[in-house]
Order: sequence, then C-alpha cells, then structure tokens
Amino acid sequence: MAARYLEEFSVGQVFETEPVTLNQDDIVEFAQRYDPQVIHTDPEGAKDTYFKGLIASGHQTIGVAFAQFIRLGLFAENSLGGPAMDDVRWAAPVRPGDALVTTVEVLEIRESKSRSDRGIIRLQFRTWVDGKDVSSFSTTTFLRRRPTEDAA
Amino acid sequence: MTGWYLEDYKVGRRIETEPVTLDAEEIMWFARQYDPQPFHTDIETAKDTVFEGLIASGFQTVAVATGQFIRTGTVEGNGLGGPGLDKIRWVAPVRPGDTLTTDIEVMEARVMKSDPNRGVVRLAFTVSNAKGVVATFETILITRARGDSAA
Repeated sequence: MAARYLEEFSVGQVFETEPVTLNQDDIVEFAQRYDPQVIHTDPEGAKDTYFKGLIASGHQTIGVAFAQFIRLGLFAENSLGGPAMDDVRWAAPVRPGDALVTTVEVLEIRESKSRSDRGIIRLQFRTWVDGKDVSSFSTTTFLRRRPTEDAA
Repeated sequence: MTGWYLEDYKVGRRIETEPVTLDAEEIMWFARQYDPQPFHTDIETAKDTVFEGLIASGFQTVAVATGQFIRTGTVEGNGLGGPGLDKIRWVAPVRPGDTLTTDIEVMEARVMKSDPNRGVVRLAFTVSNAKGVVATFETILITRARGDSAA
C-alpha cells in the first residue's frame, strides 16, 4: 500500500497485516537477549512450567505485530516517531508455529497545535491466532500532514 | 536461586539493574525484525530522517529494560507470567553507544481475589542514558505468594 499522510487516514479504518509465524529458534533467540526466562528460552525446561511448553516473549509478539503493520507501507517516510504506547495486554500464550494475524484500527487523528506540518494518530493493534485474541496494544505516532503548496 | 514472593514486593521498594550498552548492530538487528522504519534499520538512511541518525526502536528500549529486570533474578522460580504493560512513554531517543540504566520501583502489590496463593504486582520502570530519562513504563506481573510454598 502507498504511504499516507495524516489526512488520508480516518477514524474507524481497519487494516489487516500479512500473517507471520515465529519458530522455536526465533522465540529463543529473542528471549535470550530481552526476556531470559525458562518459558521463553528453554524448550525442554518450559515443559515443566505453568505454561507447559515454550511460549514467545510478549515483547516479541508486540514487536512482530508492529513490524507487520510497518511492512504494509502506510507510514513509510511519513512517520516522525512515536511518543507512546498504552494498554499492552497479553491475553494468551503464543507458541512456535502459531500464525499471527494483526488488525490495526485507527482510533484517533488530530492535528498538532504547535507544529503545522504534523499530527498525531492513535492506532489499536489486535493480534490473533486462529481467531483467538493473543495480544493487544495502542500506539501514538507523529505523522506528517500533506505538504501545503505555497501560493507565493 | 529463588526470587521474590508477593510479600517481598513492598510498595516503594526499588530494584537496581546492571547497565546495558546498545550498539548500532543490535539496534539494526532488532529493528529489521520488529520495527522496520528508516530511522531504526540503517545508519545511512537514518541520517536523512527527522532524527538525523540512527535511533533504537522504542520497543527495543522496553525489551532491554525487561531483560535487565529478568537478569536480577527477582522473578526466578515464583513469577507466573505478565499480563501486560501500561503507560509506555518514549521521551528521548536512544542512540548507538548509549548505556541504558533501568531503575524499578514497586507501585502496587495485592493478593489475587481468585487465588490467595498468587498476587498481582505493578512495577514502575525508568530507563535513562547519560543525558537523562529516555523511557518510562509500568509492568504488571503475576507472582506466587509465600503461603503457597509453606508446608
């Protein structure tokens, strides 16, 4: 999809990402760096835990969801960074081989009061495995407005 | 080693972590998989962006801080997973070579209504580099209560 300016989004729009699957090695490699707990790093040891097997770090699940959205190309060069994320909830474990599909809904759009070249867009992410909700979060991003033609 | 039980999480108690330094390679490795935007994925491309150089994904900053927390051993043996994060705020960019220091403070600790052997804990994370705070967020944890293991 082509990159969009702030004006080209509307509240209530929903985008769906391509599915993505995390294999055992992806899960372990991420967790060894960022979430080194047995449930995420040790396929054998994880069997004896509350989760009865390896599960992905929740941080990896939200990263994958965000990356899949970025890969849609809607933000491209128009994102000016994100100041916030809210309400991250991990509702169910993600296991090796699960196909993650993420839907992204536009929650809010507003123009910046201080900078005329940009605005703020809030997005609600929901990630699903076989139709079951596994994680959700909302993001706040500064996004470029369409450049105005100088009449002069 | 065994980590903390619910009763050990006293409101106001602090947890110190070991500093971690992020280099450009790790910033780009993370971003190419989890946040593929021009200011995160490539040193050269990043120069032409609003940030005028490579910066770490905010998701990575939060993940690094989480790794720092896990390595303290606080949740070892008694942690039962984490249902979520709240109020993540990225207040300043993280650049290659930045050393991140994470301070953690217990905000809330309560017994679960549905299971007296478990509790819910809320921790406030503050991540800083040499210049000051770069990110803040709250983590929710489920943990065993000490009663659970007492014979």
